[in-house]
Amino acid sequence: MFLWRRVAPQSPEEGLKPSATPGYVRNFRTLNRLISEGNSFSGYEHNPLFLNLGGEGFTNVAGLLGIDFDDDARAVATVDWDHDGDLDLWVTNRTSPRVRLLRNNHPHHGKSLLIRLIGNGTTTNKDAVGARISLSLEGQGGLQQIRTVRAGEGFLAQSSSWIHFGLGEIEKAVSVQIAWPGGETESLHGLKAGKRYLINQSKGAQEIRVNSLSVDDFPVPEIDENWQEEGLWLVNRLPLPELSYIDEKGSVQSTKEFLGKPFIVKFWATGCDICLDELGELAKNQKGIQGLQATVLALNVDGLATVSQETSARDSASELARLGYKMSSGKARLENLGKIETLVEFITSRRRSLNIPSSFLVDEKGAVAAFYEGPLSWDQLSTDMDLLRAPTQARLTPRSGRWYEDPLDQDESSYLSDYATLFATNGFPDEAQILFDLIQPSGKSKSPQELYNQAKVATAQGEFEEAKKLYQAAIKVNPEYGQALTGLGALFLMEKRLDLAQPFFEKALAIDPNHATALINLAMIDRSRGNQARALERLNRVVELNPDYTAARLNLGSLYASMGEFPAAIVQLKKAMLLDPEQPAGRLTLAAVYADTKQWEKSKDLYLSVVESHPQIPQSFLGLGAIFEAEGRHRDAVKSYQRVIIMGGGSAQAYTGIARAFLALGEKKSAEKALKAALKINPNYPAALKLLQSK
Amino acid sequence: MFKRSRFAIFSITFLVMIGCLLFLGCSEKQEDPTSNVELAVSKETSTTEEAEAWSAAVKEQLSELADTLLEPTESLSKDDSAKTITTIDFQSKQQKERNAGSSIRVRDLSYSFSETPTGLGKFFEQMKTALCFDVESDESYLKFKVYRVQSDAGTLRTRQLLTASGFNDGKNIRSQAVVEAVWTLPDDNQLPELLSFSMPNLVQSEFREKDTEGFEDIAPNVLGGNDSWNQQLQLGMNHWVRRIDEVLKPDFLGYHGVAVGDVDGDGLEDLHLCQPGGLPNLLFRQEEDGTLTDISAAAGIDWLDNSTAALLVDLDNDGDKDLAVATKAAFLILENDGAAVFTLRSEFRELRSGYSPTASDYDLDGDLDLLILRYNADSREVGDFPTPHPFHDARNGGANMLLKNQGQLRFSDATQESGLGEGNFRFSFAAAWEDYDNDGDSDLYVANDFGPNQLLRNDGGKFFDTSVESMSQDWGFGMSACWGDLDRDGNMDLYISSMFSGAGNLLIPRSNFNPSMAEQTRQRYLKMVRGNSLMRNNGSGGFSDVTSPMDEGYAGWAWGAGLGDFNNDGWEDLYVANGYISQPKKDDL
Repeated sequence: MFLWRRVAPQSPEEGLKPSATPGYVRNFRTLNRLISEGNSFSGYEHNPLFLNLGGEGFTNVAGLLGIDFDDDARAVATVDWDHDGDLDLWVTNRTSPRVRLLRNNHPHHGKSLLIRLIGNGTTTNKDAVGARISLSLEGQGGLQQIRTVRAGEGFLAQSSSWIHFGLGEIEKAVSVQIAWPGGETESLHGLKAGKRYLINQSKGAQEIRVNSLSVDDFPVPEIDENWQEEGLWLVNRLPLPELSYIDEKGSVQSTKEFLGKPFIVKFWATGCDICLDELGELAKNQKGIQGLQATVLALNVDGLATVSQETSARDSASELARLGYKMSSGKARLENLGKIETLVEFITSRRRSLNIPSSFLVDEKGAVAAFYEGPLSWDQLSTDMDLLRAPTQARLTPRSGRWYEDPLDQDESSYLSDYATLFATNGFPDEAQILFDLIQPSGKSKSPQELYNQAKVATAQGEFEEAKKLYQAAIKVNPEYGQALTGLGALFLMEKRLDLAQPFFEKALAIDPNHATALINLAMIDRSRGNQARALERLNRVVELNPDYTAARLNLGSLYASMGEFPAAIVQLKKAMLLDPEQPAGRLTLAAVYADTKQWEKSKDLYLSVVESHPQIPQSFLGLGAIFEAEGRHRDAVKSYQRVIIMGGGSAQAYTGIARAFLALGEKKSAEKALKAALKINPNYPAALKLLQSK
Repeated sequence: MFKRSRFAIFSITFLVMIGCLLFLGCSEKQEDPTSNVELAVSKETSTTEEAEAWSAAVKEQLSELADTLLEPTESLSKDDSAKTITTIDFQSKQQKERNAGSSIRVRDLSYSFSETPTGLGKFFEQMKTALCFDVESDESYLKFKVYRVQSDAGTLRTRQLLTASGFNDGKNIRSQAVVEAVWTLPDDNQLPELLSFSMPNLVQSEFREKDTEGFEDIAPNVLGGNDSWNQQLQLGMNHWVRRIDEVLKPDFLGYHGVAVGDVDGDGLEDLHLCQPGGLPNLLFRQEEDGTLTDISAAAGIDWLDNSTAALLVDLDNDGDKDLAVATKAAFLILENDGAAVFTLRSEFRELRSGYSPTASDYDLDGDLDLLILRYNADSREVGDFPTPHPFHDARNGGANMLLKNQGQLRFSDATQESGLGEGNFRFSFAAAWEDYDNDGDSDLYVANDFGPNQLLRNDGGKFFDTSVESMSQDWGFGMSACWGDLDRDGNMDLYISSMFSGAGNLLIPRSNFNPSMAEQTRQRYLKMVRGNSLMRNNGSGGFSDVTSPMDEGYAGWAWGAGLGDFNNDGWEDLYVANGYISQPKKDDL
């Protein structure tokens, strides 16, 4: 659906340059990301075989014939492989198996004739490509049969050089006319049905006899089940992101401390039998590893939610002791996995969670040389450790062969910059900064993309002034850099400097009239200036272009709510919740709308769901407090407001709420104390002043 | 069981029933066999969101319907038995056989529409009988593919393809029909209720004899003796992209092809397979028993650079098959010494990441020239979906190249001088040579993704684009094309692989699908998602689109097509390779 919902409708009608339609380009990028995250795209389709019903149309009989495979099939070549007079098929697939030989065992409707043409090599090419063979058919009601010799047809395919004619009702001899490329023609008579003939140009036909093969001639050979390819050897070694973990004594350690000698990082779980076998094997070879001046770090992932690995009740430290494992070990943190998954994403262009066990071979400079997902044998590991100093080209690929273009001829700085950028995008700005520092020691001028990425890193680190400088530098190099423009605008907006922010969003919008981020931010500016109508118009435009844009739905909902248009607000907020059930903002705003319209139960349910999913957000407790007050449950209201204060969300609103509730409970002293606290935070808080007066 | 109350979907009022009759009267006109091309779909007032919600709700109900029909022991409750539905008159069935004498019997069962409501129980029994679900079998199935949803006067009309597999007298019966259905308009709280069900033509196929064999995959049998089967070909691209560094460009999309040809002159044809970056291309010698032996390394063709397709052709007219292979790094031409040992003779570094090379003696000088297709303008782009501009008429694709044979395995770029440089900016995956005008030279049809295809008439070694006047553009997602005289009138017809998209068919007609789009463009979009095309060569230089969209047109996301007479009855059939990306998350993009 994504292609037709989000991408295709955004295309310009005329052929513009890609740079002129960033929204469309962006959605194509999203499409590729969704594919890399493991989504299907017209997958599991069944190959059809359309039977020609004697000129009366076609119908799909692939299911009946047993060849309606749901592979991601690609190329098709036809050939009579088993020499039984009918056409078999070679088919290649994207999926496993990469190739199928579909042997035709279907009973023949009639006999066939197979012909291979050889050109004279002077006026006609030897392969006779382009020659036309016509079959003479008498008594067939004017029907003809013609074939042309081809080399390369369809998608990525070349079929057999033998031309196949099905003969249907014809049982006897036939004649053929051949029009050779170059103009010569010849006729041959008395070719027998059921035979195959080699025809040399101007030299007549020669019958070729080959044994036809029966099904029994093709037993399945025994397959070596033990074979297992292990590991991915990186073409360009990449710095291992810093992993900080908790060691067995409970103190924080870092992989930095391993610098200077090669090491293996292994992620394992106690409930994973393969892991235990491997750790046992490593324990046995401890001496050998030490002999290589190397070590192992075993990081246990028990209890980390993203890993779909059964965890046992066993304790990781005692498991290691039982196995006799004495090298380094510790408990992995969730963040370790995020960083490692970023590394794997960079190597493989796939975004997914790490399988357990996974191991990484790191050289003495702290760079990852190999990545092993799944089982890793000691044989392979020791071989690879030997290769660390003197890698061979052969280790780069799972099977051997020859390169036309040496893959080791690569520009190192460009991939390191991309590697750093990926860390920034995936939420690891500190790691990104370390990598950028690695590649930018010289005064080499930076590309706008690099500047933009560094600006994002700086923003994430809270260095807003630095971020602004970097965005400005990016815009200076490329004044039409939409993302940098909106990034800078957002920084000013955060500081509530609307006049400064607005021109950047407007510039971004001038470049791309459908720029969703720019439209949403401008709507926020309009709204805070009281121009609700224009804000509404902008947000509706975003929704029209991208009905599934959660941020736009949220803003629309909140805008409608502030305008008192509650039914419209509810529609938008419900949609936002549908689009992103995890995100709390929609539920919080909707809960507030329900509270405003006195639908206490609905409001309470929503607040409680936020409490459950995001217990650290104080707003839900504020909302609950107000509802408890309305319900007359003043003790509960006090507790709820107190939660807000404990969480560090102590505001005039929370203290005033407490004061009001205590007053209702008749506990005047406590109420006074709370009211004082409220006025201390905000001496002009209207609700607090009102309470003070009423007292 | 049906969702909510049992059979709640089958309630009906008399007034609505009359509405359905009118609707079906119209739809019968659309099914007129003389006009195979579906009528233009008019723009809908509903939005894409409504259409998606409706379609999802209808799919849910149809899948419940299918489950109930497949349950052989299911009987209706008293309440449900009392309900009625307007449906086809199963008594009015007319039978026609379309494949007399063949081992596969293909029957058309035509029904007329009943004007009187039928009891629900009776409808179920009749459907079960029609689709041969009386016998319980694991291989029975019933699927619906909804591809059109329209709201009308408080009802919802849907059109869907029914495919079913059932059993009768020990034989598998396959059914296919386009079903027109009318439903109540669903809302947030209510699933649509089925009011009317019509199936004017049901096509059924079966083997004439019991226990007739079909095809069998014997790749493990003939290849299994080689490490390259076990260690390489058995594993798909979903596996390899986790095992090969992206820098080596394994090409996740799996555009890797096949070539068949006798490389060692023993009279038995051998097999060449192109492979992803990081895995060697493979050449197998066919032994006398039909099995294959891997000779890739000894033959010197085991390139690790990502390769799309190869040709085994005699390029120096010395009687053996040389090799031309399109790799990510260059287009390579290797000479065969006659005993399947190859030596690199020519290399074209400017021709990176080509697709579907094809040979023809276009200038009739007695040697083979080569055409190589290009998809991305930037040859570094391997394994990603491109960004076409604009989507329906993209002109930012790669430039195809024609290599003219200069003898001794040297070639020169003849793209410009031959006229192929004109309009050479499409996303081209494949092309097919054929003398479509029967004047003695090879013309060219180029299949292009995201736009029109091109028919290039060869006049003495110069090409002229005749796509428009010959009516052969076939606007769409052209993936490949093949020629064959499918109606046996002496003129070569065209079968073109493109794409059928259910989502596209559903969303393009909606009011908020790019509201500023011109009507002509929208119709083009709709044509693009119709599926594959069959273009009849009318013998006077023109073509007619004779596609039956839900028959030979309905092939999903199609790639290559193998054209051949698979049952030796004198008529050429089509096997189509389809499917884009199957991954663990099955939800479709």
